[in-house]
Formats: sequence, C-alpha cells, structure tokens
Amino acid sequence: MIFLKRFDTIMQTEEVMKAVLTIILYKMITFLYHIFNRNDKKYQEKFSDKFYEKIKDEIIYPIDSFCILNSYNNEEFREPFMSMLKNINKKVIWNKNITCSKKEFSALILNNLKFFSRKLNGDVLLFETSDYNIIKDYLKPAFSHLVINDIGREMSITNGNADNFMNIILETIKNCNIKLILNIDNPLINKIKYACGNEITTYGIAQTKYDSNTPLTPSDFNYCPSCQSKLEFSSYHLPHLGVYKCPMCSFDRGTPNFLVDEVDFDKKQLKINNNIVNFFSSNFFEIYNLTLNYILASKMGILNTNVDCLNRRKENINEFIIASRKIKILKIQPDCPSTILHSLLTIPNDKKEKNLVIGFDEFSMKHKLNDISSLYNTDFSSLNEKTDKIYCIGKCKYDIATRLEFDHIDSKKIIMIKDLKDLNYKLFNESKGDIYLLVDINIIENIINILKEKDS
Amino acid sequence: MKKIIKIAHLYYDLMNLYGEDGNILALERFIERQKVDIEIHKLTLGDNIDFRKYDLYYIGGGTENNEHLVLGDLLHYKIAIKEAIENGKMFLATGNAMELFGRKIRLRTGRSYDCLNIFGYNAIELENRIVTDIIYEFPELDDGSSSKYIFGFKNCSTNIVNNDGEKIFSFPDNIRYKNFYGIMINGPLLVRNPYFTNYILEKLFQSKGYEFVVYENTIEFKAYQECVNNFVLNSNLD
Repeated sequence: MIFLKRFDTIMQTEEVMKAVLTIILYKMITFLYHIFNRNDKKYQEKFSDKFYEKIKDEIIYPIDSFCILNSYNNEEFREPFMSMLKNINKKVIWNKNITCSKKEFSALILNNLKFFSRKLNGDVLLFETSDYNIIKDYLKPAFSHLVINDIGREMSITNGNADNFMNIILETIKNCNIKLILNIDNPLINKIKYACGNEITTYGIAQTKYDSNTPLTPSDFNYCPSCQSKLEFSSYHLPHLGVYKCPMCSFDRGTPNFLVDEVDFDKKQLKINNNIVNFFSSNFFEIYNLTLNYILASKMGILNTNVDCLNRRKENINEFIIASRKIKILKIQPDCPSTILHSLLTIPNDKKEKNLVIGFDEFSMKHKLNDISSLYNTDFSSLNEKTDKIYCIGKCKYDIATRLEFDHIDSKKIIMIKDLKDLNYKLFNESKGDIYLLVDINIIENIINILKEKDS
Repeated sequence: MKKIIKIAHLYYDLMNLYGEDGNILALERFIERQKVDIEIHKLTLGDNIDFRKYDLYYIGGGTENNEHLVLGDLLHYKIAIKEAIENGKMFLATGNAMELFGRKIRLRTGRSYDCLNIFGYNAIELENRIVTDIIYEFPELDDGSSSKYIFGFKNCSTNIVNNDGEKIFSFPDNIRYKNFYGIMINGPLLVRNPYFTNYILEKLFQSKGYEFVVYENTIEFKAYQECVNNFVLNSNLD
C-alpha cells in the first residue's frame, strides 16, 4: 500500500509518468543487451539520445552540475576535483573523454538515473566537452554552471572553428539563466562578459616572469572580438592566453574575480586571491586547472576544508625509472597544438643531457588521413637547445621529422626509428640522460612496454 | 646576377587557422634547395600591400569573421590584384581564401558580400559545415606512381558554385588561371604534397627565368610516401 501511495504521488503528472516509464524501458533494454552478452555500452549509445531527448526536462539534476568547456583532455583538472569530492563523501558523475558525443552524454545520464525519483545517482555532475552540440542541445536542462576554461583555434574537428563555437555559446546562453565561469585570459572567452547578462565569475593569471611579451605563435586571437583592432598584449602565457587590452575600444582583460598571482615554477607555489596554493607542474594549463578547482570548491562552499587537498596533490605520477634512466611522459593531445607547445615548454632548458621520443599514430581520432595542421601551429625550435637526440617513431614519423627540419632542428639530432624493436637499443645504448615521451594515447602503452623490456 | 624570390604572406595572422604557416615554411625550404635567395614578407591589415613587388602571393584560410575583415581590406586593392593576376604574378589561395577572389559569398541569412569579382564563382553558405579528409588526383602529376594524389583536410562552411574556370582537378572547389591557384584545402597543403609544391615552384621559376632542379629524395617525399602507404593505399576511404 505504501508503495502504491508513493507511486501515485510520483506519477502526479503525465510528463512525469512518461519519464518514469521511459527510464524503466531504457533500463530494461540495456539489461537485455547485458544478459545476451552484447557490448551493452556500444548498443546503449545507439539509442540513448532518443530516450534522453524525451525526458531531459523531467530529470532532476544535482544542484552542482558543471559543464566544462575545454580545448584539451583534462585529467589535471579532474583528478584533484574528484579527490576533493571523495574527501567529503560526495559522489561525482563524470565523463572520461572530452570528445564525448551527445549519445555518450545521454547514456551517461540515463545509466545514472534512479527509477522513480528521476534524480541522478550522484551529488555532482561534471561533464567536460569540446563539442558544440552538447552546449547547443543539452546545456539548458542539465547544468547549473557553464565553465569555459579554454577555446582554441584548433577546436575545428567538430565545431568548424572557434568563432562558430562562440556564436553557438552566445546564442544558447542568451535565453538561459545558467551561471558562467570564464577564463578571461582568452580574449574570445572574454567576449562573453560583454555580450550577455548571466551571472559571471572570471579568472585569469597575472603577468608572470615566465611570460613572453611577443606572440609565441601567430594567433588570430590577437584581434579584438568587439572592434577587430589588434589587441595590445602586455604578456603572453600561451599563444592565445595572456594579459591584453584593446587600444581602440573598452574591451579589456581587466582584473578577474579569481586572480592568480606570483606564479613560481621553481618553488611550485602561487597565490589565488592572496591565498598560497602549491602545485606540482611547470605548466600554465595546470595552473588554470588548479584555479578552476579552487573556484568550484569555493562555489560549492567546500573550499576551506579542501584547500589542503589541492595543496597535497601528488607529484607527477607520469615518471618512472628504467635502466637507471628517468622516463617522463609529457601529456599531449596531438590535435591540440597548445598542449604540444606547452609540453615542450616544460622540458627544462638546462645543460643536462635529455632525449625526446616523439610519435603519433593518429593526430585526430576522427580523421583517417591524419590532418597534420597541429604540427604547424606549434613551434618546435626550442628542441635545438633542450634536447640531445630526438627519436621519431610511429606512423607519422616522417611528418614529424619534416616539421622538425622546417624548424631548423639539427638533422644530426633527429633519429628515425623505422622499427620499434630498434628503439631500446638506440635509446639506451646511444644516448644518455633523461628521456621524455611525447606520444599519442594510442601508442603510449606499447612504447612503455617496449621500454620496460630493457629492465626485464 | 643574384637570384631571388620574394614572397608576400598575406594576412598571416588572420588567415592562418590550420597551420597554414607550414606552406610558407615549405616554400622557404624548397626554394633554398635551389640555391636561390628568398625574402618572405608577412603582411596584414594596415600594411600597404604592393601587388607589383612580389613574385608569389600566398593567402591561407581563416575563420569567417577574419575572412570578412580581410575581404574589407583586400577590396581596396581590387584593381591592383586583377592586374597582377593578368600579368602572370603567382598567387596561391588555400582554404576559404579562394572565396575572396570570386563574385560573392552568400550567407544562409540571405545576406551576401561582394568579393573581388576576379573569377565568376560564388560561395554559398551551407547548413552544415564540410569537415573531412580529402584526396584529389592531379593528372598532371601522374607518372604512374602515387605522386598524383593531393591530399589534405577540408573544413569550410560554403560550397563553390558556378565555377566555369579552368581547374586543377575535376571538382568545383579549385581554380587555375594563368599563375593563380586556388584550392579549398586547409592547412599545410604544400608540406603534405611535395610533388604539387615542385609543380607550383617550377611554374614560378619559369616565370622568373630561373632553372628549377627537381629533388625528390628529401624528407617531405618520405613523409608523403608514408602517408600514402598508411592512410591512402591501405585504408578504406569513402
């Protein structure tokens, strides 16, 4: 009887009833796939968006639901965020890959839905994406906050280009009360501040001693998105991120709500709004990610109990020793040139011997011919000073070697590895010093296994 | 007498969306091998562009916003550009830059922009962008080996229509007129397609009266062959 009463209350409207029945139907179908031993995830994604479309407005999403827009896959953000939430026993529903499609997003939500309450089985929803379709179609019902950490000119595969993406964002947020958290070091993102009336929180990094006062690579983001005059940058953290103002109109980076200052890569310390925070990288992306964690913790009211959690982050785990040689994995996304550039910047410019293994089998997971544009939106010339030998591997080794030669890297440094079986011999017998790996996700495991054979 | 090639990289900071800088690097590298001096001038909005001074004018692809900015500037040089093309100056326009030399760009909203009107084609904005890999076969490069392929990446929002001009390959999204070459392929086209780069440079050197030596054993050709083997011959492309 109690169950029936509760059922009656739940089914108070026709829409709710339809939603509950849709959820039940979805769960039944996926269960059937599961018991017939099919790849249920693959099959779920064939129909999940159709189910989700029907019920998306009836789902009760967590109060804290963040859509994070990024140009690159972002474990550095996610890992401390999850550990922070775990620390206070909060469950996070999240996605692993930012190239996640609408179908994958739908499956993520539906798989975490409770049958009758229509609530998500978690306290926080965290969804990272680089796809405008998610923003266009799913932002409104699902998320309390849209966080724009980065938009890069390279976000071309699914979005056309950064300008198209920005137009979609402005159109979508215009009629919706979503709160915005914006990295205004990026002039294109800063445009939103001037163009909409939503509640906005901004963040950015003040000028640092590591900045360049000339462009790192040619970037069309150097033009004012309001009046198209050339922006005056007082410093560049990355090719499209820095401190700037327009000389012709009121468009200005200004002082963000959360200002990162006194960045010190040697002491691994910085200040956010005058609070000291430690970090373990030499990478501006990491600082943006850390700041983002700080802001989200602050928004959720858990900062005081968790700032230590940010400070206690583990040292870079992507480091290991083989045959007494330090191996360091540089995190990159091959189709995102900023991540390549920044990985190169993290190789120290000292006199110790250093070697780089570089190789991509796929620049983009979506293109069969491997568009190599990202190689030419990146500057490799620093490798002349920083490395002793560069080992080119993988299916695109000659594309990479070509790029290195175009940047006048000494051809004696460049070693072509035509057969991966030769890598260990050449690397361990013909070079000394640390080994940096700059390889794509498809081959990293294989390369690590090959290197480990040296020890066995 | 000193041999020199002068190149103007037009709107290098606005029309450089997908690594088009690579095309300039390729030209630099290939021309250096010919033992000919090279001067590259990077020009953009606000610069006074002289369309008689340079031997090759290169313009790459950009966002639609940037394209409109550039169009506004280029229209000031309309007569000078037309004269330069008629006089056999070499132009290479890649990505959506090709649109600028046609009659109009027509948007889905019904609005249209007048372009340089040097060629008769129009660019019509599509409902969905074209984002794809692309392979063309260029008959003039066909020596029985795989050198005939021109491959690249296309990311554009328009279709080229009414293109009655002479073409490099049998698709409407390219044009060849005297020494003007327009191709709707984005990114480092000349790096990926060294046979085509040699072809273009041979024409350029002819126009200058310089001898051109064909080198085909360099790293770019190895990259080309690697790409053909990995992604063209051994793949199931549509």
